[in-house]
Amino acid sequence: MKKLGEVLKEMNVVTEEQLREALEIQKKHGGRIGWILTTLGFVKRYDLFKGLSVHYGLKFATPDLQNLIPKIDVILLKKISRAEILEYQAIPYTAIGNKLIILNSYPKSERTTEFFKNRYSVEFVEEWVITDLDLLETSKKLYGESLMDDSVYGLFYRKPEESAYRVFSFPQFISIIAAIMVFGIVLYFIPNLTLQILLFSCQLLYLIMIGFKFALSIAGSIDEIVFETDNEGINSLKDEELPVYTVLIPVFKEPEVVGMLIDAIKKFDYPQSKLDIILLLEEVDDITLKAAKEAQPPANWRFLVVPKAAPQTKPKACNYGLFFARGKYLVIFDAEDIPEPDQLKKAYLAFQESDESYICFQGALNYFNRDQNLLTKLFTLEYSYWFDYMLPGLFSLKLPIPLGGTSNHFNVEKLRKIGGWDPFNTTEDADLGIRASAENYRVGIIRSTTYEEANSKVWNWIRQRSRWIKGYMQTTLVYNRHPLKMLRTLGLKRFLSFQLFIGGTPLIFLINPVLWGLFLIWIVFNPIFITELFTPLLLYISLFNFLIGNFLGIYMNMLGAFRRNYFKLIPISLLNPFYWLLHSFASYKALWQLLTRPHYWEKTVHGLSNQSNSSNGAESEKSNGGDNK
Amino acid sequence: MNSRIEITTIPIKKNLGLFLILLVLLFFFYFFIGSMLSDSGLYSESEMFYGSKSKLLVEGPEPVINNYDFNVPPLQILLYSIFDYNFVIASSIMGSFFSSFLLLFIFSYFKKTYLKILFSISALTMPGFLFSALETSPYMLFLFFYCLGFYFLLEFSIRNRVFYLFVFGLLYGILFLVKFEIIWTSIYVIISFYAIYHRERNFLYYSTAALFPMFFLFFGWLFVYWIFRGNPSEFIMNVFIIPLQNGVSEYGKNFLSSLINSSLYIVFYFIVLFKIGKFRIFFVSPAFMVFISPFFLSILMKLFGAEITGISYNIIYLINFIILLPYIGPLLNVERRSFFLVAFIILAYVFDVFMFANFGNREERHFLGALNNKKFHYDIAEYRAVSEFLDKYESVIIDAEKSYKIVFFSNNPDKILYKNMPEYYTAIVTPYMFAEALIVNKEGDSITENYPYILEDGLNGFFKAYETENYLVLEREKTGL
Repeated sequence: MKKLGEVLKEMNVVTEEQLREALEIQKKHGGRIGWILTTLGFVKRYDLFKGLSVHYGLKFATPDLQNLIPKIDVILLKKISRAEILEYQAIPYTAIGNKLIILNSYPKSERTTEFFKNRYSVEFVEEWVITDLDLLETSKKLYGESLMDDSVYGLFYRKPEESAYRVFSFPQFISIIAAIMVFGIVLYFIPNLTLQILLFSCQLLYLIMIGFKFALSIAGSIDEIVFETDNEGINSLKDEELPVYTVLIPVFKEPEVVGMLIDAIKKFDYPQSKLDIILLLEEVDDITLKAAKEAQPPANWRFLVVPKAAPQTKPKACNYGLFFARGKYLVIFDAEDIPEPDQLKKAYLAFQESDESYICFQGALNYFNRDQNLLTKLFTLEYSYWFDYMLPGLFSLKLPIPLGGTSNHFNVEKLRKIGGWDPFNTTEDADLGIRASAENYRVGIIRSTTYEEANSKVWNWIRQRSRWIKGYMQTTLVYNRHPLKMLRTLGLKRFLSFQLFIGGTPLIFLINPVLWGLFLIWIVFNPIFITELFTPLLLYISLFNFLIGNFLGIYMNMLGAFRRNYFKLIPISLLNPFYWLLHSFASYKALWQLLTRPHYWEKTVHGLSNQSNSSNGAESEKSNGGDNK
Repeated sequence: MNSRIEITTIPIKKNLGLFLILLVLLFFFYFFIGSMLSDSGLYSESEMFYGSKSKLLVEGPEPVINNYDFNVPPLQILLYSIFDYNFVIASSIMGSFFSSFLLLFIFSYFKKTYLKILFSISALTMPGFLFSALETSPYMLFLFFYCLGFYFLLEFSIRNRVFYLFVFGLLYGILFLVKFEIIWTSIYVIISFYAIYHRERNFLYYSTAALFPMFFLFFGWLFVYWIFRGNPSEFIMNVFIIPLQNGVSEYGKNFLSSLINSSLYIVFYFIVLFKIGKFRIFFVSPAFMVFISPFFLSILMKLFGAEITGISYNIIYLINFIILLPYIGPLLNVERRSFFLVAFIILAYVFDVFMFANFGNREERHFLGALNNKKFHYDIAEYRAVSEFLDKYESVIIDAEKSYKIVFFSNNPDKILYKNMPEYYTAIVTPYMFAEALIVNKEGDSITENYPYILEDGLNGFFKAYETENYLVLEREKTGL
């Protein structure tokens, strides 16, 4: 049998020099020669698979595929699941006597032939080679509807109670109505006492939140002190041992970022031939698809067009992509993300060094356009604190971690097991983190940063934030459908943490403007009704919360800026109370939407940054050391 | 991927058991001595002052907030209020807490057993330390946050972990709630940070991180003052401006005595500086900033009118040096020259006893006397007698600022009409309408300011009911109505 390289050379699709270069890479990093040649862009995908068919002496079925698809035996298809087709990269075509013909994009794999022999009880398996993209397209044609159905309703079918498809469960609805009615009645009869109890409860919540977030920050800080990244571990990784890693990139009407995205991913410190990059495009988004095709990305890229179906959300696209993921691990990046190059290796190493309970490792997120305007500065302060202290604090205390939007590295098998993302939840990542916790999985933290574009326009920011907060509200409602069951599953500590972190956050933002309003009225007009409402104890607690809560909020934000050497942001942290007002506005918008358009996905407009992400972010960050120089 | 590195901790976590044992033992140690001293009739001025404030706060007339003197730092009052203004318990707990920390620090730093024992015993039994722990708990509280804060600053300088700088900032900020005047030392922090970090061009940011809590608390306190008391400039005037005026005028007079009081430590610190002087980097390090901080603290605080006088202040030099040892020890090569440390601690001990006996203020000398079983009941007998005499009255006008000793021993603080109450000044003008009795401090108070001849002529509608060396009690005449 001629070597594949020789075959391709004879086909005049690769030069001697290119082949030598590919062989050098193979020697150094391992991997399959054909795949290396295509990821380097030397050989086209079509030629590779044609070459493979010649190499193995098999029929190349791609040219004839359009005719073959209608002839695929549906009875054979009934004996195999969709997942198995995607796992073995082969579709049963027809059976002739004791022989089964399969359309295969991973030919001459003993595992595959054995599987088909056993499944169909045949003696011989004949393989016809098709390209991997053909296999993907064929699967979409065969299973299109069910794939889409599963992407949208998979979780709902499996565990309806964990899906945000329904906003309120019936008992929740009744309880809320009853609570409002009872409140109205007691307010009518004993207004002062009722309002005092309400205010006292709010202040108590503030007090607990202040304590909780302070404890998290301390725990997160200690984590910062205790752990140091060990570069030796990363350097000792051998490329040939690294598994295939799927990178899911959902995009929507972002044609301008495709080129930069390809460049950014080329810089990954991970063998390109082991990257399975899936660009998730919406059916209606022709412009991005066109731009992606024109960019002619390497062969390890796949474009997956997600058919049009409601709801048009990122989690739905991710679920769709998950079906086609080939990697053992999977990560999600947004189109404008710039991850630190060794992030995948860090995540892999984290999986290797942790026990089986870990389903995901979350990387830190930060912004490359932090200096663009006041809003981006405040946003950067918030993220620096959130990802560098709060989440590590949750991790350190073994509490449920709401995942961030991107840079979450999953174990694919476990992710599929818990049902992927909830397309009806507008903060699907946070929901997934909580669901993982409810299923007794753990989420870890890796010290590697992905730089994103911070929202620089106020209205755009409010849209994005209202979507996140709405998602938090949805998640709170979902996991409070059976609070006792949740309590038993999570245990008291994690249950309370969930209630405070996920449920308490939007609640505080909703309460904030009311209390600030009362405070302002009291300061300016000093009306008697407010003086009567605030009993001495209530007044002292309120003052304590007002002063200490604001102090800690600002000081902890400073801490985050310091850690990243974003010194210029330190004075900006004093403006945080105004930023929290924006949160409150977004919260009310979120609450309104929860009641009126619960599944509506407020799309964040990207590309508003003055800076090009390819020239900033991680690289400049690393070289500059923040504001230090 | 992540490997654990050694974490900086106050050596509590590793030695929690030992810490708890020390805490209990030292509590009983201080409680025993404290009870002995109080049996001897030794009540310190500061304990009585803060005790009276917390007594009014806890047991004074409603609403409680009116009883709070916003010119007094809240943590000092809190310390007494928590322990029911029983200063023996309050000081024993504060003292044992701080001492346990210090002992664990000494145990973990020194490798040689005799040094551990020598330093532990000396530090704990030094009159200055005992006095601070038992008679001036607020100073002990101050020392606790001060030392812990600077410890974290030193750790920040060594390990460059931002978190430590913020912990320093937090602890330093809390000091404001122990002693308002500490805010003046922010000048020192800014100058030091400039010297240390100006090359990185980040000193302003470092200073912000370090001082933000203190200034936030300062403005927060002004805000609280404004809400509950009114014009916050009164607070600034009372706590900062007037003491500053006094401090500046008094400073020259006290300067020499301060030098004499701390002479041993001045010499010792100079010797250390001479030894370390060849390491130029030391002078632009936080270690140097911490090293000279007790001197600056002493100068600034005295200049700005804070009451930190007496021999017991010296204890800060000793503790400061102990905390610095892990950082400057290698420069001094103390492991090989342990005789240097032995000589220092013995000298410090002898110096302390000598200074207490010969140059201490009245309270310090009494303290030493009480330790030698001397009795001082005559000191408090007067206050007790006046307080007991007041028991029969339903309402009493008293200037609680000047006559705090009476308030401290009072059994009915809820019947007292005093300065913070809105009706106080009306009551002073028409005492007949408000109170059954008035207590006049013969050394002068707000009552004598209103009635300059009250001591000689008495007051219309009142008769002299009781008189002692320092106090006069006037009782309302019965009208027969």
